[in-house]
Amino acid sequence: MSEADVERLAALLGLPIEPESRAAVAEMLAGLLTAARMLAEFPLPDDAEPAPIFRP
Amino acid sequence: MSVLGGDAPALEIAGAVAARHVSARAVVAAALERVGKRDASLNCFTAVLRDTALGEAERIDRTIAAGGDAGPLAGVPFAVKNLFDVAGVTTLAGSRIYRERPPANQDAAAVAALRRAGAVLVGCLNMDEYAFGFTTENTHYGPTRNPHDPTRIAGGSSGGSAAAVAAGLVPLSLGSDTNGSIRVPASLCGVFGLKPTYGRVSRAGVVLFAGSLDHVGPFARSVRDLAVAFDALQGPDSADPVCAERPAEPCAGVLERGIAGLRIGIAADHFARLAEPAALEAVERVARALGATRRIVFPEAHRARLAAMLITSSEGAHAHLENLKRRAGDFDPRTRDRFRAGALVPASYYLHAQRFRAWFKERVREVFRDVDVVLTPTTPFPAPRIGAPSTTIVAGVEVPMRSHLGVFTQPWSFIGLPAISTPIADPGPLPLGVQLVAPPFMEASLFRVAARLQKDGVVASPVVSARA
Repeated sequence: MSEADVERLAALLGLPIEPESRAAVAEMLAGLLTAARMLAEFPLPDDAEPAPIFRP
Repeated sequence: MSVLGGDAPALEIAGAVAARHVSARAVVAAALERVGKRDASLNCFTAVLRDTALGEAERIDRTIAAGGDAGPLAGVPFAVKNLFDVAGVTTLAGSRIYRERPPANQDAAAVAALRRAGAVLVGCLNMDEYAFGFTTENTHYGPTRNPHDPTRIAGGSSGGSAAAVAAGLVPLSLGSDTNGSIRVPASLCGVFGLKPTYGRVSRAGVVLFAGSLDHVGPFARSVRDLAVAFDALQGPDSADPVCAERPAEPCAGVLERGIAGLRIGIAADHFARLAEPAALEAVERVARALGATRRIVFPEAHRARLAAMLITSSEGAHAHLENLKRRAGDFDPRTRDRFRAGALVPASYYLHAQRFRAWFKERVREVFRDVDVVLTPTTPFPAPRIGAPSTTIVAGVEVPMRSHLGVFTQPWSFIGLPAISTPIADPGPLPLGVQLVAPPFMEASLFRVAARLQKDGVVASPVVSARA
């Protein structure tokens, strides 16, 4: 995860991030994506639906 | 012990007020005096509601003088984390940005519930900005200091709530818990903290952090006070869309029931790693006292924690996205970049975490068929110093100092299970908590175990007096 990656991703959201903060955000995002990949390694059954409940 | 002292339990105060042995006004005035004397050094309070508290206390005294019932918590001073709406007060949620908001026009449901029970709100308490943290090192309002050692953190994000109770400023407080924000500061400050089942207590009028995981609950220095407060708080509320419809199941009546018939286990694997020996030994002391020997593994608990982090970061960032875009400079530097990183997590990862949550809930439900209460450390170590380095070594492994505080609390809040952090008696120089966990809506089992532990002197929360 580079500072340029952060700049591009943030631009997609319209989220300005000043250059001096991009390295810190990149480090934190890298941590979250590592967590996400460790989670994704675990195979879930097809019938595992997202947890939130919507009651119409 | 005097009911005017900082060490008085809430129920002794309420009994004395109801019997007119002391006035609610005198009790509340004494609490305000303690806050006035000690809070400058502890920094628990962000608002002290002196006039409204004294007025409320006088109203309670008049009700009792007229022969009326002022409620089970009559005249008991309490305070709330400043993310609860309080009528007439601006709800800060630990932020600078919300300081610009108008005062709330009504109390949060939980605040109203304690007031209906006769408790008297004396103020609002410090926290991590928007509840995103385990330390209450708030840049805008200053750090809350641990009454056991003012150079150390109180824990967070409900740090003010735990420290105010530990120091005896008030006998009762409210906090919120998304990943451990009630249980972590309860552990570090040596008080009892209850995170009820998800949906058991209304969050109406509370600033949410990550709505999928947000809970509210009480802190106290005795199990009975905690139970009576919980009984006043619990029950359905249509104003909170996730609040459970099942009726309240009072717990104060179960405290004398003992632990006969309860199957108690010790969480192994994830819950016995990456902790200092003192935290693990506290669990063993509690287990020996309860006669618990069975070790229980909860599959994939480490991944549950990762999923909780992803959900929290994504939902928390989304809640504050507009302000992150328009006025990032007004955020606490300790939260700003973490929120920004959360905003950039792809939706697929977030949804995978929510699917994992459903899967993990079922696996844990299966494990709890054979056990009623599980013991774990609440935190892996006691309170770090304020401004401590960002990492520390635990069991030979470098871990993030602050986020690691939630390693044992996150897997449970992730699936909404009820948990109490109980303060081990005579822990050494700094407090440590042992966490009791039960299946959904089985708070009564937790209270039976906690009451037994307190009765036997295994857990205790003596008030921390001012240092000379």
